[in-house]
Amino acid sequence: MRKAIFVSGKRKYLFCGAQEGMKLLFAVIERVKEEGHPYEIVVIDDIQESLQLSDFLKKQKMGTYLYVALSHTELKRVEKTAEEAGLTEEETQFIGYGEELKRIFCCRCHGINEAKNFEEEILCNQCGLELSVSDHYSVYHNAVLGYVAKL
Amino acid sequence: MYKEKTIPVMIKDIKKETEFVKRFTLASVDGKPLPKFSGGAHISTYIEDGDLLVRQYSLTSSPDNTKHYQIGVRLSDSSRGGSRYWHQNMKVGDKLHISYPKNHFPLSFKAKHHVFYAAGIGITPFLSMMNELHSRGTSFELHYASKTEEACAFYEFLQEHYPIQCRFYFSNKKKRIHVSSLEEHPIGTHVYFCGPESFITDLTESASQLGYPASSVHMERFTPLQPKEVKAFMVLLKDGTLIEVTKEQTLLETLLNNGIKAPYSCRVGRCGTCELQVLEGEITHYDSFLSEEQKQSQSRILTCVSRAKSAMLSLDI
Repeated sequence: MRKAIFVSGKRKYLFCGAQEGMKLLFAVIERVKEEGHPYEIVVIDDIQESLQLSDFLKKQKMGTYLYVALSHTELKRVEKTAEEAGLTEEETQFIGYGEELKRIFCCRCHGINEAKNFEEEILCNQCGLELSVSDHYSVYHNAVLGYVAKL
Repeated sequence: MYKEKTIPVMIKDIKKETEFVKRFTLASVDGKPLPKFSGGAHISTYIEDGDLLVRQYSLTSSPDNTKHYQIGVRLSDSSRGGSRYWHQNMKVGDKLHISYPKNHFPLSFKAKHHVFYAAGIGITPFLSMMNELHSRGTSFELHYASKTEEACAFYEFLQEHYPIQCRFYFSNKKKRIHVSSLEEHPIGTHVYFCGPESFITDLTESASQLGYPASSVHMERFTPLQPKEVKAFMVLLKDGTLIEVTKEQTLLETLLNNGIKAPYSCRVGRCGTCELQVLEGEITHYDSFLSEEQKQSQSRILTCVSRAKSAMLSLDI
């Protein structure tokens, strides 16, 4: 699992997540408190709250840094919300937990498969090829590349 | 010697914007359309006045207008011939060569909102940028500092075309751009600075202190960073020749004067054309092209602005 890392030199820190996710941000929140930086914590426990996040983010000023810790299924939607609000990769960290459904791009038929995050090999549901799940991610396809598992 | 492709053009119109700024309209000599460009682009102008005067000016006209280009030239207090020639000798009907448009100061495609900070003649690159954003319907604002309203180039044009987006700061009315203005910009803003060195440094440092990501901050300097203390140094070439770079000359000028076919284009440390490999010796970098990592590697130099820190540099040319 990716760990939250403290990034210094920001005017304000925002921490968003479900109760469980906040545990993963604990160390960074403590550091921000210790160093006396302005911060805000937004707990998102239902979809309604996550929808309101968009307006909240749009009201933030430049120099704000965002941490989000949510289950993998919810994380994608919030990532998109943050991007639409104007936050870039340099101003955000997204920490996912729990089961993640990865999208796997078949290197032979270009079909998209879904696999759980612990699966290392799958059978392509379109062409039947045995695929080895790589960490080679494509933003365009929002999927990782599945290589030929056995030659 | 590297010589870039040029376009022959003719001066079609000259308009006095302020006491020290003139606007020149250029059209191609053969009447063919000029190349389109993007907001923030500039051209190099080539004028034969005994010596060849090469100067860079931002294009101030609409990027889609291929009938003519416009540039704004301020008569520099310390003119080494370029702006003085434009102001005192250039007449309607005169011919000269210009480079194809180049852009080292492009607009961000990611920004949700663009904010321009200009001081004095630093307004020029923003004119084509604002034109492009206005036609795209993208939001922007301009903060423009000038000594007085009379000395404020393109004031009437800006008031007429972008009255809501422009804010003026005239120092004779005790109005100044304050760095705290950077605190107000919403998430997704990209800021662009153009003006004298101190203006750019103050704003860049403040943006960094507030936590702006480096990629959201863009700048264009009139002149490259100036060395605090200029020292002469020796250069060793591949064929064993040893030449001296005097205090008065740049490394590039010395190479060219010695008949060496060194590449170059912008001459202000921005385009990277003049980059040479350094085999030995320490460099003090004054360019705004190489990344911090590349500068620290001490293995390459932009000859048009950078100099040796050590007594000698060994170059791969």
